Amino acid sequence: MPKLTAQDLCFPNLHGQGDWGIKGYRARGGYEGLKELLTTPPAAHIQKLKDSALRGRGGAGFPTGMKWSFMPQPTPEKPLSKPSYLVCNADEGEPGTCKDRDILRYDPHTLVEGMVVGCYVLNAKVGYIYVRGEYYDESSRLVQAIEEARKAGFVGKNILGTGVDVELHVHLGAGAYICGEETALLESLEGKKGQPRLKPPFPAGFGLYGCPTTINNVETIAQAAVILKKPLEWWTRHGRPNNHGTKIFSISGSVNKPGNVEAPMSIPLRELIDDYCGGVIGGWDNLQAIIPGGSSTPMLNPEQASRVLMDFDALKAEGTGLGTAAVVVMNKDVDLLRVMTRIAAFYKHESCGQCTPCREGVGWVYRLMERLSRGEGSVDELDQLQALTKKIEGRTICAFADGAMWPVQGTLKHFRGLFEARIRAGGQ
Amino acid sequence: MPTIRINSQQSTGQTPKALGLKLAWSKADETTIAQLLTRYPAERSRSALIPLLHLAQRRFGGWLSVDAMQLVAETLDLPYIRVYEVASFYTMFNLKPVGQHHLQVCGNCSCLIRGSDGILQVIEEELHLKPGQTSADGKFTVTEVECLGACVAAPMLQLSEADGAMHYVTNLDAAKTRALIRALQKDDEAALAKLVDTPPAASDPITPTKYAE
Amino acid sequence: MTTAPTQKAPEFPPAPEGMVNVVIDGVHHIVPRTFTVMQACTQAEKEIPHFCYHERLSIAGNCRMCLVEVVGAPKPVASCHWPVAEGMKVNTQSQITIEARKGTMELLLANHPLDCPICDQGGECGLQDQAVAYGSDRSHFEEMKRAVDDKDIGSKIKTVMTRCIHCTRCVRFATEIAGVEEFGATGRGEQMQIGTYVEQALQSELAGNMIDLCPVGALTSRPYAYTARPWELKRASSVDVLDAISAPVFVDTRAGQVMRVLPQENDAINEEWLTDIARFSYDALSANRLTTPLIHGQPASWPEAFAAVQNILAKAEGKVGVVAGDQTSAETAFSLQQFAAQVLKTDYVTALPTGREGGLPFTLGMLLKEFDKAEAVLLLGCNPRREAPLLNVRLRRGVLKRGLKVYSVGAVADLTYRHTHLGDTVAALEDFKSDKPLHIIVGAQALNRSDAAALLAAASQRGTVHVLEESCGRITAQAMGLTASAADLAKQWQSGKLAALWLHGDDTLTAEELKAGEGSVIYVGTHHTRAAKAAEVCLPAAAWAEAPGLFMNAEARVQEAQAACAPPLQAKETWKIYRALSEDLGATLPWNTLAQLREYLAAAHPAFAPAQRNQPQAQPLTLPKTTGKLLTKKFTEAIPAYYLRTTYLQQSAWMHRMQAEQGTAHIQAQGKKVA
Repeated sequence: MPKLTAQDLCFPNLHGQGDWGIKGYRARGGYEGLKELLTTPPAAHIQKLKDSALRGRGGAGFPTGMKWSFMPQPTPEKPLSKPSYLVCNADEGEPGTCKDRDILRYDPHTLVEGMVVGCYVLNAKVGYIYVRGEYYDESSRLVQAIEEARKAGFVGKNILGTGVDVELHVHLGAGAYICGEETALLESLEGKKGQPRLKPPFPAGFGLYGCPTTINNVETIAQAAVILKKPLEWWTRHGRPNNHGTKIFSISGSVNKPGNVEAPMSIPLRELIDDYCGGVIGGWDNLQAIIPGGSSTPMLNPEQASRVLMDFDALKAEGTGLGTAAVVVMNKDVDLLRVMTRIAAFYKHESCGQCTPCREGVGWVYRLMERLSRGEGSVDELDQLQALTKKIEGRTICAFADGAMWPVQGTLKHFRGLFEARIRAGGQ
Repeated sequence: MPTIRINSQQSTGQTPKALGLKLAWSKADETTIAQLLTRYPAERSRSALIPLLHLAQRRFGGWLSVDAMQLVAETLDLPYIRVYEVASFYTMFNLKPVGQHHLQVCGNCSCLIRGSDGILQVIEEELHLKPGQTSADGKFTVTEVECLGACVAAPMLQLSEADGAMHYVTNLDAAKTRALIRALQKDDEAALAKLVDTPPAASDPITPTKYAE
Repeated sequence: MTTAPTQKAPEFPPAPEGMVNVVIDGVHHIVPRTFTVMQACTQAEKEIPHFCYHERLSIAGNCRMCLVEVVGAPKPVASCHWPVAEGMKVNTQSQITIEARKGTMELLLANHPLDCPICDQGGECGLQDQAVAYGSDRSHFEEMKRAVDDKDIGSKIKTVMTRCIHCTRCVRFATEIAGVEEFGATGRGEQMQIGTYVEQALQSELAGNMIDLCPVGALTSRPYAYTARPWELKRASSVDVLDAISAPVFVDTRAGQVMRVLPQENDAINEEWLTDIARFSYDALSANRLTTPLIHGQPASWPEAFAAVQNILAKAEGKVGVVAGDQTSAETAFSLQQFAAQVLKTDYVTALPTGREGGLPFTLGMLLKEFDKAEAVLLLGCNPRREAPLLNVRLRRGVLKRGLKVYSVGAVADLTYRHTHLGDTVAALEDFKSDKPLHIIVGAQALNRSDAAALLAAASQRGTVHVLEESCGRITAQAMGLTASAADLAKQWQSGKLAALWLHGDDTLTAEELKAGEGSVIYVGTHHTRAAKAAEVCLPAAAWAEAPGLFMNAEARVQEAQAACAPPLQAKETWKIYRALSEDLGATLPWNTLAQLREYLAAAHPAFAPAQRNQPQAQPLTLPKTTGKLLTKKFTEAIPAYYLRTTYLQQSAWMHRMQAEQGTAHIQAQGKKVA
């Protein structure tokens, strides 16, 4: 596929080559057409987003147009009884994922404009951007970007004379991966521990402060505004049906040129790695496994990796997922079992502890991974490990535990032999 | 552009009282707090809890003692236990003193694949510290942390200062790691500025100041 | 043109308004639309195992033991919070449900120490019961179990936190019901620990209920620790005699000794809570008891004691003051009254503590449940948190859930909820106006004042008055008519107007006041109190748990307390003492058995008849129309030391320990929610 040109990109300054401030953003076309967007009825915007097949870039891939349609819309007879909120999930914590960091520090105005448009469509007068606490410098730029936008009249009261009021606030987290789960994020925003809520009710009905709330990822919100500005075809020409548009892929691990790249959806994984990232270190034949969408997604073996397309549906068909499009490449020099055990340790560390299967089980799974990856144990225990993951998956309040079990299941599915070899070798 | 401040007054691991830090907000802090509270609906002041804990950690020695947490609780009219719960839930809140320079090395998948072991080894050689340890003079603490969201620039670490400043130092190798440690040991701000990822901010989300053009 | 797909005919006719059709284990039920799946299954009499769910607490949904299969759902649902829907099909016995339960149980037991042999919860443990009924027969866990430090949270509750399954019932109880936010879950993931974080004794008077709530042996009763196993215990039904609410309780004994006191469940009275003084003071039953009659402090036989009594009475020539104490049962009160009239020939018979006027109303005049509907409450000289914690729980719920407005004229207090403190003198009443119908609860701070009658009259001008008495014993005795004024009891005694004092379990006179009189004191009671020490003759009586008794509570509800065990050594049931003594003194009371006594009692006081048992007779109060002057002095806290509020409680070593742990400074720092 031909590489995208600057005009094709939603994030032309993704690598920070230009000015990240408002001057640079406007020079790249930013804030142009904002007034038209703010004077088009929200229903039209929501329909266009549905037609665009934009799907959430935070990991779940839920259709954005449909999500936004869940929010209450006021009518003259029935105004909103509670304020609505748009909350941006910038709690980027999925191992392998680092795209939002670069959006925040190199092109924050894409998010600011996206928030203004999103708040307008969802009838929110206030938007919160929840940034992970470790993104100190990045969130500072975002704060400055909002101030720049306010000075220029793009944020605040009566934006550009349209009568639309949008106030934006940046709120820092304090180091908890689970706050990336939307209801845990709301709890954290409310000043509590980031423990996910029971669903139902769902945030569109009962969200932040008990009010209708939509939570979306940074990239999703930024791209939504771009989609609404451009002709529909500009977006839908990329990607297969139901998987349209461009996407930032974060490729890390055993590649020669790791980096964030904005590429068309449904790009073949091989092309992404070979053409954008300098290929696997040691060549494609040196490939051992690829995690396609962040640590929660089951890995692909080389055979799958060589033919799979990078979009939601294609990866789902392979028994994994696009997730956050964080591609972690492992070549044959990597101790794969050690990496997967380290991922299991991550989940043990990040479990919020609220519900039994996750609190007790994720640690148990880690300890089994740790032992068996050293070869200390029996082959039967591999079956027990698989069975244990099935006792935890699907039994919890939120999907964190599922995300913790899938990488283990993926490892057992594709690399059971590695465990067995270590076990037979009598443990190191 | 403000330089990176290497703050040598605070956080040598002693209790706030021993350092002579009075556990009270300054006038400037109170203005900050009042401004923070305007971000949230009036009856939802609890939302300011995490920002206030960040502020307290910066002010009172780089960690949250029980006194500090109680001050935050009283500021927001919250029961103490609710503040203890939140402070103990989040990784960034230190409930024990940490060194002046907190080197947080990511050990998760991308960084592990790209050589975080080697970085920890260099740190151990230079500082004689394993993850979880603090140097005797209180200047350095080393911990291994979870994914910091800079995976394409792995391996990397986050440098946290006692006064709350934080910087990513990415694309590490042995040489860069050594250079970082030297810069910190010598309080060399210029050298440090060259090593960190993003130039320091003119304002931050907790205490935003006017951004000057 | 396409044809519409054929619609399947709905399985059931439409349910009535506000209801839905559901199918549980293949059987059709109609349940309210607001029900959760668990509630629907309970209605269908299908047991759903659970730990974190509790009807009186908010839903947590974290234990995952209640998972059931809902046909069509992608995974099993937590029935405690999942709402029912029209046509929902639930299978509580399917493979999916059974596997989910087994999985949850296996995970719960993974880190659990399984130390049943040394755990007090054994035999009445939710984890044991559900593991046997719903768990697997083996565990696959071969790693190291984690251990958690025990927490010192005071002398009420013993903690073995390694056993904790993090259901958070205790945290929710402390926050929602007790209103003392001291308990929480700190840490994250498998590091999560329940506790106070900074070790301190729990400051709530309802903390002991956390022991009942905890489904495992993490929180157990410290006074009860290692003393008995539940299957050894014999259970009797009784009532709490330490306050006016009179919660029904179970008294568990082994070999004739009371091992513990637990609440019964009664939505109308105590819901399922019990105050800590009722729960933990049973050691008073075996401390400092009067076990033989005493004459001048020396053990004597009953006949000798009776002879001594006869001597005293002969000298007193009918100028006897009879005072009944705060744990007086109906049988005792009636016996005492008849004894006083026919044998002592005195009409100075009171059940009021020294200093208090007689003839004032002594009940709430309203059912406790009715307070759940109140819109505005004024506390006049009343601290319900100390006087009647179980009423305070209802007020707190009203404030938090229904917008109940609570005002207070009295000493400043932390009631665990926001209320408006109007002032600490009567002047604060002057300008007060409530825009909602006002219920005025008059408590100990007011009743103990000499202007009590005037206060009640003033209150009656502003709303419906409810009197919160000290205890059900005082209510019961006043209901019998033991209402002579005790306002100048001490003076009458000192001046010689009363030549003898007959104190039945009353210890309100100080040692100095008792010494000031010339005549003799006769003390009929349970413990060697200061009144007993000042008495010439002591007759040992059975305590509340050692004799059957009828007690009337603040709702004018009469409940029966069974005898859980026998009185110690020579102590006797009180009605028997008076019956025997009356015969000895030549004016035999007409009953020979308890049943006969109760017949006479019921005839004289129909409220105590068997048909009226547990049928509260709450009638609006008749208030005095006094024009007496209101005092300008400040109200002062009537119960400075909750755990030692009566002489009986002061006999309990555990009460002393618990009182020592209560820190007012701590409470002031935390409970500053007095608007």
